[in-house]
Parts: sequence; structure tokens; C-alpha cells
Amino acid sequence: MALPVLSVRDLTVHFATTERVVTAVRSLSFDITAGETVAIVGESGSGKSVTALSIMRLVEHGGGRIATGGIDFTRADDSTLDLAQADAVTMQSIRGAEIAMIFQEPMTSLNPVFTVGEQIAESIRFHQRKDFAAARAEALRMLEQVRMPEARRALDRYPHQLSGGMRQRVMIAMALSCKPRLLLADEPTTALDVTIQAQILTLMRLLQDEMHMAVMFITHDMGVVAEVADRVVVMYRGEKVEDGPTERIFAAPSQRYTKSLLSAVPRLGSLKGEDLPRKFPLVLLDGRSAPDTAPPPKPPSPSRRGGTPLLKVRGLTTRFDVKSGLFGRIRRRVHAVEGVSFDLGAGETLGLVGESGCGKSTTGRSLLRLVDIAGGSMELDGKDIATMGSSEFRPLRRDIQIIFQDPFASLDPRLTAGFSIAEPLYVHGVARGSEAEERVAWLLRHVGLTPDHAQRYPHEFSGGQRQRIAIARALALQPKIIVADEAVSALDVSIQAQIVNLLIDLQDEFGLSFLFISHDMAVVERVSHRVAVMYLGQIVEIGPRRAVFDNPQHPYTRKLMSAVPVADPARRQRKRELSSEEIPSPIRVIGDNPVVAPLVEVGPGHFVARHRVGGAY
Amino acid sequence: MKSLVRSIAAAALGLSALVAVPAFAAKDVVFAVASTFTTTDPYDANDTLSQAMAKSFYEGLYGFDKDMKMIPVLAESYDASTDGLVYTLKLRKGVKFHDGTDFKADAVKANLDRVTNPDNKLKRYGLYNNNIANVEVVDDYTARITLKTPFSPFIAQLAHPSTVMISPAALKQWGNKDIAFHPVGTGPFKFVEWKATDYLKVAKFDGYWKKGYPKVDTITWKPVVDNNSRAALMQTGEAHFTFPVPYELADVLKAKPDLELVAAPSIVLRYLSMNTQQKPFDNPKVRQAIAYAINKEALAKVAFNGYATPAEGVAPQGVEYAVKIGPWPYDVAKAKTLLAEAGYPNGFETELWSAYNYSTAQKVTQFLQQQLQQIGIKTKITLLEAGQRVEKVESWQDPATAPVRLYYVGWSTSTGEADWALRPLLYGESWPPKLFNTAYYKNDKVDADIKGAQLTTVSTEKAKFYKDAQETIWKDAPWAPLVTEKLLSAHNKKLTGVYVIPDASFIFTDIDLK
Amino acid sequence: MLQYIAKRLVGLVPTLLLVGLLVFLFVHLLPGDPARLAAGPEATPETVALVRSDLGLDQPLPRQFARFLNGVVHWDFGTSLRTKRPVATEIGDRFMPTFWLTLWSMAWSVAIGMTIGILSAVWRNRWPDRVGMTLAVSGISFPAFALGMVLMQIFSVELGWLPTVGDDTWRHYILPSLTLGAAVAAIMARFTRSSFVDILGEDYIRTARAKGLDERRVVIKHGMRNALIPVVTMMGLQFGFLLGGSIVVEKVFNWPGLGRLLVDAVDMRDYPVIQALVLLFSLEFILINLIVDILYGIINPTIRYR
Repeated sequence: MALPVLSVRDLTVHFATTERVVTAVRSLSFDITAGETVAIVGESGSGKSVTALSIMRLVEHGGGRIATGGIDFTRADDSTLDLAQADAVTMQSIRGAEIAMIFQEPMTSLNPVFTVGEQIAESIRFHQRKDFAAARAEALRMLEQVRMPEARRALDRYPHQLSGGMRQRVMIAMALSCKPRLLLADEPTTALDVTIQAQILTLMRLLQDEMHMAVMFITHDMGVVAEVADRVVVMYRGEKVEDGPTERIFAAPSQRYTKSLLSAVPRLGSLKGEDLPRKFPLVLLDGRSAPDTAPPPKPPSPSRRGGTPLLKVRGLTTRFDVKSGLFGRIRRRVHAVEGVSFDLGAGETLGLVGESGCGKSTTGRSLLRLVDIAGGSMELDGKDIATMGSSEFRPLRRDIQIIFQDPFASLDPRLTAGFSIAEPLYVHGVARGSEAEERVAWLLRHVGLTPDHAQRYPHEFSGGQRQRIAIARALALQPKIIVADEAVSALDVSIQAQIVNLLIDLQDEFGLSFLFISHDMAVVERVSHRVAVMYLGQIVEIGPRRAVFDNPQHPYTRKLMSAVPVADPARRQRKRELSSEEIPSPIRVIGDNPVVAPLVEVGPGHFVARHRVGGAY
Repeated sequence: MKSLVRSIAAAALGLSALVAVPAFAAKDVVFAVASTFTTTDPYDANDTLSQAMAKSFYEGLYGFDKDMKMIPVLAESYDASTDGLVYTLKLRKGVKFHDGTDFKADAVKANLDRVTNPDNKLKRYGLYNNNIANVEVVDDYTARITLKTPFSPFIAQLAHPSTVMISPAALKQWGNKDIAFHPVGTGPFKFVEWKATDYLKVAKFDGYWKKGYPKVDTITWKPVVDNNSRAALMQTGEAHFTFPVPYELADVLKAKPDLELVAAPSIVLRYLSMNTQQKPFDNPKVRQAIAYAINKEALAKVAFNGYATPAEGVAPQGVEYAVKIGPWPYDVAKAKTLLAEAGYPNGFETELWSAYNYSTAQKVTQFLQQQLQQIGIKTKITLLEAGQRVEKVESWQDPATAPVRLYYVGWSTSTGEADWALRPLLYGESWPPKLFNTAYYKNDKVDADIKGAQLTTVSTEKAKFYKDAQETIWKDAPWAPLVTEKLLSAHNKKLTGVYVIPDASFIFTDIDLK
Repeated sequence: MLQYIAKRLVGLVPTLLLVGLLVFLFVHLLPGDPARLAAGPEATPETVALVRSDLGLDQPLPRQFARFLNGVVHWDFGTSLRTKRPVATEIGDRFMPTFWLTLWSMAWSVAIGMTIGILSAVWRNRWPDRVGMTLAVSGISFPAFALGMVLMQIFSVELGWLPTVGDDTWRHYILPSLTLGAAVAAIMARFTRSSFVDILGEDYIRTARAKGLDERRVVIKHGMRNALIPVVTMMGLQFGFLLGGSIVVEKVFNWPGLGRLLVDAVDMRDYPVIQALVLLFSLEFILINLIVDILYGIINPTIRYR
């Protein structure tokens, strides 16, 4: 067996704050050989990013310090160097040249004030001592290699002019420009849409094969792990829990934490053949199984089903004006939502899926009239809330609540959790004083917290707890409908599973209806009774979840499904076509309205768009 | 960015090109003064400084010497008719204007006609009280002025620094307004240039009538507002003379071996006027009580660093016909008794306004507040800013509602004669908004005295009228007379012949630089 | 871009009109009668009336405003009530000295301030930071007039190296620009520091380091341009303030500046001068804002002009 490119031995990293020393990584050891992909898996705070930054010796800039251990790196001339001991100048010559890194956020990881070409060429000039013209030519070659469309033009563009996927291609081009022996990829696809993620993963695999690189792939997404990794290192709170070949880890995890983690991973297709949502069969860290032996959720109350739906949306259209020119005239419009129609029954969950910019969030906001709508009707219990005056609508707001993706941003940091939850009660004059307090306590218990949590401030809670508080606040007024806008997307997978289970329980208990907006097909599969797929502001397919997932009719739905990485190495799709297709923009010039046509029924309650929506479909 | 750098560099070059090292001729004098000049036209100026500066190039028919004694300048003598209406002036011969024309009687007529013509809208229009009937040219060197009513201080008015002789030819050439930018007089210096923001420069007039004068080549009048900066200028030798020197800097300058600090007497009287039309100040006992309650010696020390003396009368010494009566004694017990007699044994509350808002005025009012507190009078201090002063005091239309009560203010008798010391401030017809009788004082006897003195040309009679008026006023106490300021100036020891006269103007006929 | 500038310049006209109207109303609301003030303490009511008609203040307000506007349109701002000189001359005499002083002060204070700020940010919480921020705090809190007086005392009076007052040569610029710039340098230092501290924590800085660039290049090339964005705003603001003239520095150094002109004008209720100055200051601020916005665009390509 070849010498490992990287051999981490007994690595311990400290972060010193004014009060205490935090150990971010403890006694970590693992190897990576050339051509191999090792996935470092773990939830937030597990120390996986710190490990990567320590290898780059960038951890010092964040206040960290390598306390013990060695990082042996085999250089091109087969000499071995302990990076933990290397001096600053040596590290500079290694960084970017022999070890490169790709980061999670392509939005913020590129410098906004320099052109893409310059940012790639800079590294080439610096490490390979090429002149400007040669470096530029090399940058162009790299962009072509990462399949950047119109690579020559892209050279002179700024990061903000590119989409997220394209930016990540630039990051990859930059990282690979000096043909490193080791690539550290820190959540490189997490911020990307699923179809784009598939492209990038394929691209990375292709380039790795070409360059015979060692890749350390950091991710929290077990689907991605299953897709790309040869071996897996599972980390928890700074320590390695277990490692081994990918197939073995997935098939027979030996450690409790790994089992628990895998139990929380949504797997697309796991509900094949089932009609109703089902909770995650969680394995708790203490080894017990979650009490999921309870009966599966009931179907939505039959009294409403088939009768008048609770919410009836017809032809909903929301557009945003783009002003330009000397007098700020409206030249173009964002057609965020175009002629969207759907029903939502009582006690039912409608999953709304699609990629960024497809209009799913705008649809949710339109329902709460958080944005001005351009047309269509929205009947709630038979009353059209679309055309209502705002004073008339205000009491009806109680019936329809929203939960956002980022619970930290949606909670006022200066208010206690209890006050945030009680606030809607005060505003609507529902309860006050001790009555409100009791209600808050009751709500907290129902979202899995305790009443004494009411006295705390948002920063004292973890992300999952904050989202529970946001849910409690949404429940305070006993709404009929909750719009969950990417409500679980920012959470770690185990927390995500818990929150999904909570939502299912709450629906069961209170007969709530959910409009569950998400980009994550696997989660949508778990929670939804029915599913609508959005593309370019329109619903291209809608129907019972089972029908849509088991038998997708629209080509876009099929593409979306196939792009989802499946957390099962046995079903790995190694050979994927390498495309660089983009998600089209919903911005159109005035007067160029998109075609909207009624959907065609292909099965009971299963409708598909047969007209040309735009873009590729 | 590059072009910015380039323009900065260009500017730097341009600036250094401007560094024209002033070629110091033998005798160039720099005066550092406290404020910018408003005009060079004395007929359109109301500030002493502009008028003092104008003495560089202008002279009057009469003027003052350094002790503020009136002396003939361009006139040689005058002759008043017995009815006090006709004044005949004999003019000096051989005097030339800077433009080469001769000074003759037509200049007297041209200048007096100009200022008395309302169409010219000059700020000194009121100087002669609209009392000149006509001015005649008797011959080249004799002018005859006829008044509408007898007015004995008339010659003093001719000595006022505003009454100067401007070249009639220049007046004709530049017109009524622009003459201010092209002054042409008979004075010892010719106007050179006026950079409003920086300095005004004058140069020796070779054709000056007084042979051998002036003894220096140029004077540069440099307004420097900041007291410390002016003092710095004196210390570096960049200026030879400065006025005023603030009290707090007096010791610093005094300590410098090459500088001399001069404290000259002034006719600037500081007083506290009381609105006699309003309760409780309508009661003379209250007013006297207040006058007794103030320790003027202490005031002079506290607020004026000792550069002031307690006021000795209604008009300060140095003003013609001023009578020395005081100082008003400091007697708190007496003040309390008087206040009790007036029915205010526990005092009262009132307003104390200051006509100025600079730091000395602040010190004065705080001191007064403290002193009045001793006899139970509580005061609320307001330092009026110029605009407020005009609105709330000087332009107040209805005397009955005038809000002024206790009012700290000062007065400089710029004619040097008792009429201008008394009439604007204490005459029954001088209540605001007409003039500055802020005490709203009216005493028929005083009014008659002032009127009588105006009508007689006999000096002894005038003296009698004014003595009577001043004594009556003193007793009535419409004011609490406070102090007479001293005028602090500093000059380089090489400089001689520059004096600050009691009205805060300068005399520099004998100026010389060693 | 040109279109954007044109648009902004067109938009300037109504703003200035409004400012003109407001300042006109404002000056007439000031207590005190300018005619009385101009006529002086010894003037009689007749004289005051004469002065009033001379100054055109006896006419009804709308008429005065119309005259003012008409004048402005014809680039004639009237005559100073105080000095009888044209307002344009009064301002003109002082504008360039103020402008140059501002430029010099800004030049050195921005250079020094930014250097201190960058050094402090890079060596955050270490001694260069502590020294730099101590300097900055003293710069902000040390009163300008005291600084001016101390500098004058040392360099002019005691050492005799530099002239005391006036604006004749470049040497005259040194002390006033030091005095004026001290606070600006301090503000720039603090601002640059906080901006840089933020920027140095950005992901793209990490990217730059991951590329193996040396620290100097990371800070100067990748940090500077981004950090400049808020700093430029501050620079524009400070520039605007300084262009308004500094009363303190103008007084201490007898600088022929706009600040004192305004104060004197307000004291004497010199309406035409106040009006013209306020219009000028508004125009300056608008133009500076425009320049700042254009600089933004040059520094930061993500900003698009609309």
C-alpha cells in the first residue's frame, strides 16, 4: 500500500477564550492516501472544520492552537513534513499549491471586489511564478476544466455576477489550479441546490480521478457521504467515534452515535409504497429507540377530505418590479409566483419543493400576505383573504402562522423566550397575565421544552431549541395552518429529525395543516400527505406524495429526484452525466409573461404540467 | 486616485510659488486687532475699530489728542454765532488729498451734504441729529454751517471719528458705495489694499501736510480674532502692536522683555440698568439698595483682573463735563434697610440680562447675582446674543411691556462730550426703540438740563446744566454704576507713538519704529 | 454610470430649492433685526429705517424670496449686509483656503489614520493596537482649540519654526492642518480598525490565506479594498464637515475660512451670506455623497448604479 498523503496522528486543538480553554479536537488520528476520498462526518461542533483548518494551519487565525499531535504530509518529492511544526514560510508555499481547500459558502468565500480570473490567476502567479498573461491563460484552462460555461467571459466577471453553483466551480478551479496533492473540501455542496450539488459532486470526482488527488471531504450530509466517500471518519464533540470503509459504516455501524446519526438521516424512497407520513425511527444516544412504536399518523380527517378544503388557492401570482434607467421605470419583473393553484385540507401536510428561486418561499409569504400579491384568490374557510382589507385580514392572521428557517433571526435577542411566545397572545388580546403564562408553559411542554425555559433569552438555546420556541410561538394562537418555510433546513440532521417528528406529533394532536416548504426531497417525503413541485414560479406537478414520489411524471420532478444523493452506498450513482445546466431566472421583461396553463390529471388527484413552463421544461 | 495625487502635487507647487518672502523695508508696522473691518468709510461704520483704522488715511476737521482733548486738525479755528446757529470754520491751507487735489471748503460741504442726505443711506446719518440746515462754501478756506436749532456740542460732533474729509473728486469718481473700497483722504497714509480675510495695508503718503510725518513706511492692519493668537503674534514679533489684550493674558505679555503692556484709562462705563417703569424698580429705594449691595472694588478684581476702577459718576472721567460724584459706597446693611423700607424685607425674584455673551460678561453677571443674593434678590441670568439683544431690548416697541429688568451693559461716549454720555441713555425721549434708555428713566429736570445744555454755547452754563443732571441721576439711581474699564494694549518696545485713547480708538500720528 | 451621475445631478435641483426655501424661512425666523444690528448701537430709528431700505429688508417676504431665487439663478447671491461686498466675493475669498486646508488635513489624517487602523486591526489586542487606539482616543478627546494653541506655542512662539497665523505659504498650512486633522485621523483610525477587524474575519480572507498568500498581500490586497467601503463613507462625511470650515481652527490660526464667515454672518443676521453658505454646504454634501457613491462603485463592483 502506498504511503498515505496525509497522516494525522493524535491531533488535539485548543481554542483559548478569556474564560477557558476549549478543546475542539481531541486525539484525532486518520490517514488519507492518494486518489482516496475520506469523508469526515459529524454534526455542528464536532470539530470537523477545525481539523481541516488545522491541517492548513489556518486555525491559528481563528484563535486556535495545535496542542499536541502531528500532521504528516507527504510532499511531491516523497519527503514527509510535519505540518504542525512547519514554519510560516513553508506553510505559505504548501497552502494553495500542495494542499488546497474549498469552503462551504461560495457566496462569501470569494472576494467580491476582484474578478474571478484574477482570483484564480493570483494563486498561479504566486506559486508557479508565471507572468500575468500565462497565469490568465492557465486560469482560463482551469475554468474550462471545471466546465464553466462561457469560461472566457467568466474570467472577467465578478463573483456576484455568478450563481452559487458557478461560484463553487470557481472555488474548485482556484483550489485545483496548482494541482494539489490533497484537497480539503469543507461542506462544498451544502449551500447548493440539489441538482447543482449533483453536478459539483460529479465534477469533483472526475477531477480527482484525473489528478489522482487525496480528498478529505467534510460534510454533515450522509447522502453525500454515501455518494462520494471511500472511507468515513465519524466525529462527535471533537473526537473520532469510529472510522471504516463507507459500506461498512452504513451497513453495520459499530458505535451508538453512528447508529443514532444514521437513524436520523432521511433517505429518499424510504416510504415507497406508503401513503402517509411517518416519523423518523430515531435511535437515541443512550441506545433506546425513540417511542416510535406508536401508531403511524392518522390520515387527514375524512370530514374535510373531499369536502371543502381549508385553504383553496387559485391562480396565485406574485411579481416584483425591477426598476432601472434614468427615471426608475419598471423595465423588468421577477415572476416569483405564476398562477399557482392548490388546496390544503384540514390536518393535511402539503410539501412544497423546488430549488432556489422557484417561488416556493414567496408562495408561503403570499399566503400570509407578507408580500403584495398581483392576482389570484386565496380562500381560507371560504373567505377570500387575497382581496380583503388589512383590517379585515388581521383577525384571520391568527389562523395562519409561519415558521422560518433561521430561528435566531426571527427571535428578538433582547426578549425572553416566554415573552416571544406570549407576544401574539397579547397582540391579539387572547390572554394576559397568569393566563398567558400558563399558556406559555403548556406550549413549551408541547414542543418538548420545560416551562422554566420561558425565562431564558434566545442566545441561551441551541438551534434546535430555538426552532422549538419558534414553533411554540406559531402555535400560541391555535392556528389552523402553519407555513413551515425551510423550518428544518438549517438544523443538524438528528435535530432535524426530532423537529420533523415533533411537527408530525403536533399535527396529530391538534389537527394542524402544514404547508411544508423545503428543498430537501427526503424530508418532504417523510412529512407530506401531498406534494407540489415548483419550477420557475409554477407548480409543475402536484398530487399525493406516494403518487408523485413513486411515479414522477414531470421531467423536472424526475431530475430533482435523481439528483438527490441517497444515503446508501449500495445505491451509489457513480456514473452521472456531467452537465453545467443552470436554474433559469424568473426575471422577465415587461410584457413577456410566462405561459400558464391548467395542469393535466394523470391519476387520482395527481396533476402534471404539460405546457412549456420555461427554462429547460 | 492618480489624478487627485497629481492635483495635490500641483497645488503644493502652486502654493510654494506663492511664497513670496515679504521684502521687509525699513519701517513696516503690523497692528494686530481683534476683529475684521466692516468698511473703510467712517460715515458707514459703527464700530470703533473700523473708524480707528480709517484714521490711517482720513482726517477730520477736529480730532482728539492722546488724552482725548479735542484739537483742530483740518480746521484751524471756528466761530459760533451768539444764537448758537451758525458755525464758521477756518480751514487749514496747503493740505492735499492722496489723489493730488487740494483740500478746500467744498470738501466740507460735499462730505456733510453726503451724510445728511437720507438717499445715501449711511449708517451715520443720525450723527448730526438731522439738525444741519445747510453748509456753505464762503471761500476756498472758509466753510459756514447753519443749524436748525442751537446745539452746543456741535463741534464735538465734528471731532467724532466718523466726521472725516473724503476727497470730493474721489467721491464723484467712485460714488457713494464704492468709495468704501477706494478711500481717498488727507491722512498720513495712502490706502494700498484690503484683503477682507487677511489684512488692510496702508503706505506712507509723501504729500502729507505735516512735514516729516509719518515716520514709518507702512502699516498693516491685521485682524486676528483669537486673543491667544494675537498674543502669540506679539511674542513672535510678527506684530508690533495689539489691542485689546485680554485680562488673563496681561501677565504673560508683561513678562516678555521686548514687550510693553499699557493700561490706559477709558470712557467705557459699565453699569446695571434697572427698568424704572416696572415694579419693584419703580421705587428709588429698591434701586439704591441694589447700588449699595454691589462691591465694585471686588467686581473690578474678580471680573476684570483689576483692570477697571469703580465708576465715579454717571459719565466717566475723561468725558467733557463729566462730574465726579462716586464711587457709590458698598454697604450691605444699608441696602437691606432700604429694601425693607421699600417693602421688600425678604427681597424678590427678577431677571438679570447681559447685553453680551462673552466670558467677562459672564463673570460680571455671576458676581452680580451673588451680590444681590446677599440682600435676598434672586436673579435668573440670561446672556443675550446680539440678535436677541436687538429683539428683546433695543427694538422693543412698547415701553409698557418691555421685558428688560436688570440689564448689564456698557457705553463708550465716542464724542467725548457729556451730551452723548447722557442723552442716548437717560433722556426721557430716548427709550427704546429710539435710543438706549434701557432704564426707561424719565426725569423732567434731567430732560430740561440736557435740552438746556444743547441750546447754550457758553461753556460755564453747559457745565452747570450737566452737573445738575448728573447729580440728579446719581440720586435717582436708574442704574447701579459699576466700573470704568481700563484699556489694555501691548506694543513692541521698538514701537513708539501709538496710543489707545479712552474711547478705545487709536492715535498714531507720531508712530515710529526704531 | 454617466446616466447615473446625470440623474443624481438633476435630482440635486429640487433638493437645493427646498434647502433654499428652508434656509430663507429659517434666517427670517432668527430673532433680531439685521437692520438694527447693521446700523449699530448708536443709531436712531430713522437711521435704522434707512439701513433697512438700503438692505431691501422693507419688502414683503415673498418678494424678498423671489428676489433671492432670481439672484441665485443668475449666480448672484446679493451683497453682504455687513460688509457691502458681494456675497460671491466673500465666499470666494474663503472657499479656496478652506478647501485646501481641508484637503491637506484629510490627506495626512486619512493616510495616518488608516495606517494606524490597519496596524491595530492586524495586531489586534497586542501592543500596536493599544498604542494606536490610545492615540486615537486622545485625538478624539483632545479639544482642537487647545491643540492649536499648544502647537502654536511650541512651533511658532518657542521654536519659531512655523508662522503663527494666516494662509500665505505652505508653511502656514502645517499647524492648522495638523490641528484640524487630528480628530479626523483618530476617527479614521478607529473606523478603519473596526472595518478591518470585520473584514479579516470574512470567509474570502480565509480563502486568500488558504491560497498560500503571504499575510501582507492578504491584508493589503484582499482586505483593503473591502475595508475601504465603510471608511470611504466616513471620509466623505468628514470631508463635508471640514469643508464647512472649522470655527475653532479658523479662529486660532486666523484662517480665512467659511466657518467663521458663517458664525459672523449669523451673529449679524447677514441673511444673504447665511443663505448662500447654507446652499453651498448643501451642495458640497450632495456632491461629496455622489463622489462617495461613485467611489463605492469603483471599489466594490457589486454595487450597481440605478
